Amino acid sequence: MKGIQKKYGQDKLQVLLLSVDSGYGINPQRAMESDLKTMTKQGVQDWPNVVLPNGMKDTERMFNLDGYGLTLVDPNGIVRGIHIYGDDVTELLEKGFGK
Amino acid sequence: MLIYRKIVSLFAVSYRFSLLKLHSPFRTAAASLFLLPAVSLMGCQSQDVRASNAKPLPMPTAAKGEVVVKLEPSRLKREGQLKIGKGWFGAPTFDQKEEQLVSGNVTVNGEKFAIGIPKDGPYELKADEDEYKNSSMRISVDANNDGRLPDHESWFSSNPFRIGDSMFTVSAVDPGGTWITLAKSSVPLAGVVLGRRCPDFELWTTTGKKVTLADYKGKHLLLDVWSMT
Repeated sequence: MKGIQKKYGQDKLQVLLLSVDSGYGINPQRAMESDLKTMTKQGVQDWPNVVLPNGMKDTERMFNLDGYGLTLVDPNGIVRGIHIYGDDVTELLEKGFGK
Repeated sequence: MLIYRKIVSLFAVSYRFSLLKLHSPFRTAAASLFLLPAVSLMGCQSQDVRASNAKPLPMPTAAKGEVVVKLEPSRLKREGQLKIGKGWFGAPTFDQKEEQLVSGNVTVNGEKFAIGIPKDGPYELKADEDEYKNSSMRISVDANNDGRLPDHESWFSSNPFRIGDSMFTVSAVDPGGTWITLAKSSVPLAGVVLGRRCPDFELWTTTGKKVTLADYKGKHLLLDVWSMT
């Protein structure tokens, strides 16, 4: 993910983290702090992170997502990939950038 | 009914063992060997039979703002979520369960969509709020009409769900699985669907910044559902 972000730059691609830790009974404040620790360790502390108070129940309700993974939305707001991983992300992005 | 059946089976098996005239210690050991699986098997059988053998109710007339969809046996299957695990010597294992559906068609804003629900139920429309996992029935919508129903094209019936660019709720479902009643919902568009616009969102980041879908106009956006646990 870090590599992908670096490759395309912030002006072409943005990542929005949706943390579901609170859904496992972790206090949202504590979840926020632990998330930041993990993000710092991975060098992505600058990425916007949203702690969803009801965890996966919120992702279900808002996006119909009930599992971990990536969802790609193109510059026109059209969904191009759901539950995508690894090479699929790169492939879809390359297609999106017309490569 | 289930308890009654279990008691009857216990008596039946016990009676058969008494006829075999086994010596007492052998009889006890042999009986426990046979009785336990017999009892658990009976329990499983009655649960399996429950949904698929439920008597279908007559199809109701649609009320205003509702649509009644006739469901029939079909080839459609819901593809479960691909679960990647670790097997022997750390080798990856892949597990993806399929679920046979009964399906029908619904037309929304001039577009026809196939929808389906599990052939054998259970048809629970409400989720237990205390449970971590939503246990309500899954309703599948073939959003891109490709005849495939991956996991992301199925919705929990306890939540409003998306068909095309409209939201619906499940009002009722036949216990026999022959029809389902859907009602148009006024909730804002929700749920990501391949090839369709992402629903608007307004969220607050941990740094106190408001983010909306409009902020990402002209850029690709990767939504990453994650957890540090």
